[in-house]
Amino acid sequence: MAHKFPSEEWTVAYKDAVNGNEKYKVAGKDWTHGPVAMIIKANPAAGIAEDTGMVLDVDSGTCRGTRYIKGSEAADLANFVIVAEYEEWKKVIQREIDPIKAMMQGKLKLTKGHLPTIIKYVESSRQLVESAALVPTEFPV
Amino acid sequence: MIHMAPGAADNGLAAMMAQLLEQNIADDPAKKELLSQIKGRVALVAEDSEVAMTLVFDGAGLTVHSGIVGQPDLALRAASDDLIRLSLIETLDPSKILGSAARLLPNPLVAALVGWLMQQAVAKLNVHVPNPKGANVVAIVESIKKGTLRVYGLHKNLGLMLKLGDLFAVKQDNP
Repeated sequence: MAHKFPSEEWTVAYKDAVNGNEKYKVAGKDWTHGPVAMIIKANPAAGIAEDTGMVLDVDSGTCRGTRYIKGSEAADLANFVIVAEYEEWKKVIQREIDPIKAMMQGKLKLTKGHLPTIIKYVESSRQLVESAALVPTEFPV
Repeated sequence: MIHMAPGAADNGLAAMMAQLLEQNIADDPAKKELLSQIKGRVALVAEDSEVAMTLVFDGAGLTVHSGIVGQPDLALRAASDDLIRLSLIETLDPSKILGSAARLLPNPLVAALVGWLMQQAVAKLNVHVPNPKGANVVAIVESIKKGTLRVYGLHKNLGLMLKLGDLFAVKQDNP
């Protein structure tokens, strides 16, 4: 069953996808730097009235929990925050664009957090984002 | 010490490199001293991302530009992954390598003296060299062999390249 993106249900399925991603388990096994938030910027056409965030409580190669939050609070709950427009997240989830390339093109932005740590764990970061592609997803637009 | 030229903040690669350097300096103040020793113009092109930037070091600080600006002393053209990998290359302290090499000399006293002199000379360069056994160094060498990572101007600017590597290298015990 496909889950609407973004939504509470999608976020829960994302947690399962992260925990089912063997490559993430390996690449993220040393990650102890705290939660990561993915923020989708408001897009009324896609039914996103305000910025919306998914906070992933990732630690040592597993996702211990998730939160789906409307508004700007998600950024306060995470040590690392990646922000992008709805269309860009859609391309990443559909594997139309690599997350590292998207960052270099300024389409995904690290607005909070220690970039050297993200670079040190670049494969972990990539697998975290690519886990999203494993979630059966329905896009509103 | 780090300035963004107009338009650079909108260039993802330029913004990333500026952010990386700012946080590297915060983690390791020795990099601030290193930054103040560098003069030169370096262009970086992420070919698969179709984005380019220029770093202009003036001996006091750095100005980050979007696109290729002026005539670079060094230019690196690579895939995005390899540009990231350049910050992760494993390094060795050259003074320790030379010190170890000097120990191969037959006379222990001469070996100790030569080793010490070599260490003093190299320490002044204040740079590290790539560890040829490092996984990221091996991957970069492969990319160079395949021609997917190309460095222009290296023969005249090896010192600049080594300092650049040290400046952007991610500390392996980062918080």
